[in-house]
Amino acid sequence: MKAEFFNMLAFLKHKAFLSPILYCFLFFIPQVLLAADDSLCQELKSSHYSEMKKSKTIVFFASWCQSCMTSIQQSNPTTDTYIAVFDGQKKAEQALSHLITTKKVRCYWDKDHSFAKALGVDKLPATRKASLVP
Amino acid sequence: MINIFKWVLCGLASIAFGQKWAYACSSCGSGVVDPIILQANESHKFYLGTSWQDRIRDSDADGNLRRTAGVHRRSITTLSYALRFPVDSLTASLTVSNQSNIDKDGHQRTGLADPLATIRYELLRQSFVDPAIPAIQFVGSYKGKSGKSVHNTKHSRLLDVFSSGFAEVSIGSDIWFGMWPVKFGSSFFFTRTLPESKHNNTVRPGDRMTSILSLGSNWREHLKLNTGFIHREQKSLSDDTGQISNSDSHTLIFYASLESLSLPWGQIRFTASEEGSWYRKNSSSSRVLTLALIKGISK
Repeated sequence: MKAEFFNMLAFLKHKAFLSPILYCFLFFIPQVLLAADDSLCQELKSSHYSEMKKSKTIVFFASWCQSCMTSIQQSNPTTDTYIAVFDGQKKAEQALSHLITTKKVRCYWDKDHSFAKALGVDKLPATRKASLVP
Repeated sequence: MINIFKWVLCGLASIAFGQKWAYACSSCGSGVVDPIILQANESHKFYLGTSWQDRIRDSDADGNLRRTAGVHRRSITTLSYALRFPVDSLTASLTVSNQSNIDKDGHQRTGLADPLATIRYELLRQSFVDPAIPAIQFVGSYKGKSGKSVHNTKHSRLLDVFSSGFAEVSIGSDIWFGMWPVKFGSSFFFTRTLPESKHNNTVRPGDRMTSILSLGSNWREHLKLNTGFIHREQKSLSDDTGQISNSDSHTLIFYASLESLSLPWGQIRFTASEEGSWYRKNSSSSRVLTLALIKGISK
């Protein structure tokens, strides 16, 4: 039984189709997982709400909103939370990192605008007190 | 020959009458072919505008103005609705207008003007990360014909004319640098007028090129000022006998608009424009004042 298993492994080892699968397991999938962890503005989930409540102000922004530059510049990255909304995740991350150089920033991406809607945000720029977070 | 000349003038004048809304750049929420453009956070938008057009004068091929024998003043109510498709970069709008024509004696006729359907594709959206990269949109529109035109009017003073009498197809592009304190942009549109059979004669106004230069700025995040020039150049009218000489037309329009931002119930836009005051040929000159209420619905 054991010999059969090793024979099968040896067979697969020499098959070209194994390399893409190995690539996925060893390189691509971990990279995707790591990238998700590394993103500056993670996708917002209700589990993040408790963390957001610790901040002072919620700053809503998008990369296309010129006036949002002022509200980001006037904010405090150590005490405030940033919510990227009505925008793509990567574009919003680029925009935030363009204005804030601090490495530890609390930022979330409100993909379906549901959080913004819950806080009555329908246009930008907008800020809300963190105490309003449900 | 006199008959043909009358047609040329009426045709060109009617084309000029067909463009009453307009003004301003794309990415600031209004367009040249359609009065509303969706902002990135909006999924629907409504526009209700009322315009007054007066000081209407006709211009001949040398640009000389003369008092019009027809409509003296117009008032136009425009309703427009725009929506965003599931593909985020694609939007469409439909615009209809109700127009009242008034002659110098105060007689009035009211009717529906030509409806306009527009589709916009946003190729590039601006980001404050790189203000030098503009917003770029491609625009396509279709303007139908409805009601009476100068070709089948029954009123000597053209009071029953609400349509250009020709369907139109336009394509164009819109470029806007909106991330600097002073914003600017330009748009170009090519319009082809579809031929129509009028009194056993196939008539087609020439192709039209519209160029817009606009400049804008926000004041304390509450007010937006936009100003600019629109130049329309239309090639000669043609019929079964060929092109009618010296029937090409030119118009230069200056406009300025002031728009309130961030009002809880929508935006108010006031636009003033002078059409054909400085440069015109075979067209008309007039002043248009427009007051509009715009309401965007967030995604």
